[in-house]
Amino acid sequence: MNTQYKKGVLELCVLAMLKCQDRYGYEIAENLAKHIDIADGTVYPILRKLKSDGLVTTYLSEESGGPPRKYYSLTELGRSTYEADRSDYLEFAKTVEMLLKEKKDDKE
Amino acid sequence: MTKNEYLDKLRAELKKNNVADMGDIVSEYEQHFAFKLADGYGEEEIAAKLGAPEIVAAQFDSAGEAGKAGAGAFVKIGLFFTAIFESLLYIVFLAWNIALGASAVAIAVLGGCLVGGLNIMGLIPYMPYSGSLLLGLCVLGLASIFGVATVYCFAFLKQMIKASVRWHKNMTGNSALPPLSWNPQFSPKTRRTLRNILLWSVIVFGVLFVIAFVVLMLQAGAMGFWHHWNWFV
Repeated sequence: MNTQYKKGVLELCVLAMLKCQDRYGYEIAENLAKHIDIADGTVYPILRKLKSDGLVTTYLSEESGGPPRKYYSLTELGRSTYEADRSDYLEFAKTVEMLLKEKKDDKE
Repeated sequence: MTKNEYLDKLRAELKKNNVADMGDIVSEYEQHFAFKLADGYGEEEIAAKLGAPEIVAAQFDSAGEAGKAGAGAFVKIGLFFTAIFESLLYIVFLAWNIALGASAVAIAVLGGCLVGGLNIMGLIPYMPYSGSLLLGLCVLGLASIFGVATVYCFAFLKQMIKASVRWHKNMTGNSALPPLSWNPQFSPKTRRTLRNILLWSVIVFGVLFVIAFVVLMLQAGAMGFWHHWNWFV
């Protein structure tokens, strides 16, 4: 699939992942790469952009043995942006699905 | 590519693209390597899965700004002077707030004394108690008006500082949050309460002022009751 096209949706996916709990960068990268075919390195720029847009904040947390992990957590702005973008996307996806289906029917 | 080669290449590319917070970014990738190595992956494999350093670094370009760094110094000096003038304004406004609050308290104390028939150190001139009671209630209404004004001005000052801090942050940092309104922000409930208090205070003050004036005139039997009781002698 077109990478440029995926990028916008990835931001939404990252926000979705942070909705219920705070996660550290690697966790997010692994989780995304498991479901979507992207280079692992792509996730960190997204996290950084979300942070500079004020949608997420970070904090360091000491784990048992091992270096402190940088956790990402949704801000109020991030939460409301997620809710709005999520319904926008679902609406959009529904329309696209409908249009694509129609096309298939026409051909048959 | 080994871990060190990858990180060095990434660092160089980030520097070339003038990305802010380079160390922070690189440490994130360093951690990625650490986690993956702990899971048993080889360095080459991890580097390959991350994607080429040039491509990764290019994705940070939009986040860090290459252009702003040059104009930075000029803008910062301007912002610095703006900040000085702004803080002077805030200090004056804060003083005004304190004066307003103190007035509200002082007026409330006067009202309380008039209503309670207390005359501390004989500061309040003579008047019959019925007139004093009415005048006291009227003065309490005035105190309430001052109180609402203090709350409003304080909220205004707070919001002004907040909006200004946001503006400064947006001018210097790379985080562009939406600008804040300069107007004081109250929840609808608080706003309604404040408006009702103000409305009733004004009514109480106005009506009782007239009544108290008339009652005092009748008690003194003169238009200028203050002359009758020698208030200003």
